[in-house]
Amino acid sequence: MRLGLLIDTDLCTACEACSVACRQWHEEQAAGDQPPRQMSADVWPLRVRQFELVRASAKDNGRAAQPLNMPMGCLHCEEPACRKVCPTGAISKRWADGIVLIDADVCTGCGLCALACPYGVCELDSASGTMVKCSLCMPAGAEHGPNGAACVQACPTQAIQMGDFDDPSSAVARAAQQRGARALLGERGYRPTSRYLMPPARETGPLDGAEVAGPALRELVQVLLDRSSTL
Amino acid sequence: MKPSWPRIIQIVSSGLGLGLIALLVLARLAHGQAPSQRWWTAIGAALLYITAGLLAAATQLRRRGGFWLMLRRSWRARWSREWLSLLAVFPMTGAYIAALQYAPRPVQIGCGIALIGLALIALLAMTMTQAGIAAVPSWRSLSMGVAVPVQALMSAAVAIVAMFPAGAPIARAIALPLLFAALMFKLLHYANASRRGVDDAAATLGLPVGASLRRLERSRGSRNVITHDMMFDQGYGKLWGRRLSMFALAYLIPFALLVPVSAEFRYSTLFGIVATASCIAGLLLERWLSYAEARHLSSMWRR
Repeated sequence: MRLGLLIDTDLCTACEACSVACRQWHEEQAAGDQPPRQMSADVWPLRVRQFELVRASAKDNGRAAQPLNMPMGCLHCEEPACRKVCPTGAISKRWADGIVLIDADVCTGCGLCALACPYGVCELDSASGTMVKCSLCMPAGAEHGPNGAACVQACPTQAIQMGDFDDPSSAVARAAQQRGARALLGERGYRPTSRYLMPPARETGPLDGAEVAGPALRELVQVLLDRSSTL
Repeated sequence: MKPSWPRIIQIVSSGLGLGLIALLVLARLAHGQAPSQRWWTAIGAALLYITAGLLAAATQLRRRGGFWLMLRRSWRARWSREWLSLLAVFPMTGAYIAALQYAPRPVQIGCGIALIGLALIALLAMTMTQAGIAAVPSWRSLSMGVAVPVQALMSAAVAIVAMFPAGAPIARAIALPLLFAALMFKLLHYANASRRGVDDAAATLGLPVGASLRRLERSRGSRNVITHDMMFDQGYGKLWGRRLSMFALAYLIPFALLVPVSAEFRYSTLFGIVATASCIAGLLLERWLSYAEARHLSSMWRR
């Protein structure tokens, strides 16, 4: 089993609900039975990177721009660079499901994992002096709940899906296969489990209501217009 | 933003200490006579430099009690070889000193060779902690792996000129080639580093030719442990003033000061002390620049 996230950048609106839910989960997890402990302000185990993507286009002077939002947490690499450099062996890859975990009890906060990770997703919580990163909302030794990770549940557009990339019949594996999901920095030898679906190229131009909204919205607009004319 | 000073001080201070141990023991093996008072003082200073480096590195650990945790768990991971080899230098030095006092010459030679080997291994292990990080392409090179140990030996050789006025000409004969070699390796490293850049994120996202990405905002995506603590991400070639200061302090000034040193020269010790101070200041700046100029792969998500 190889659990990971499939992130559809075309659906992500950068609302950052995933970031907030992720941080909240980590605060509750670190507190245990105690009231949630606030992590340092800079600590976001899942961050949404926001870009403007400009492509060649037939319209608009040959260039078309569109947003590209990338929620990015730990990608749970098959051979994690962070695990190799950890001097205390605090980082492990759970072979049963492929999740990369940090054992906070033996992390010294040396920061080498942050330096080794090419995605910049290991965060230092200066409040506890230990490193924090995405664990797919699975505390060490626990099995996964039926609803998946906090970010998956929080995403209003279902841009984040979680599943087993080793199972060809799983939704994430099929979608990744059909839409050519990207393994970030694969060309440099990194093998992340989590993948990204890139947005398809779109032509931009003046918004056409009929084209964008579809028939249902057109009908709704028509009903509202009819009512307003009767007032 | 602040550079990783604990790490910078550790490499320079421990490097100087390890280099001193290696060169002093080598000199003792070649000389063969009973060590002088100055030699003992120099060995003590070397151990102090290594200790200072270790203490500096311990402050890098953010967790309270992290140093002891690191030692307890050090057998678990290969990256802790640096710590283990640095700590092993202390008992090995003790064994060598005991051999000098009580053991016959063959045992002294065996212990001395083992101590030199251990000091060199510790130097390499310390270097590889940086040179083994693949996420910083400019660090991961042979020139980086060789430059740091050579610099450590260089600083030790320059310090020996100041410590041993009587043996200054011999120490100078070792220090000058090491200064030249370290300068060459540093220049080679810069030549390599400028070719080992970080691509634009568009490349790894598989975007078509001609497509480009621009970071829209720097809200909570920009600050983390790497940008805050580990490096400045200035990029190679943007800090020319500091780079020239580094070359002058670390290599050129010590070289110029050591050239006139001889047994007859009155100011050999003074020149040696100034050369050592300049060399250490230059190496601190050199390590600082290694963090400041390095570009981490994750910077492609922040640009």
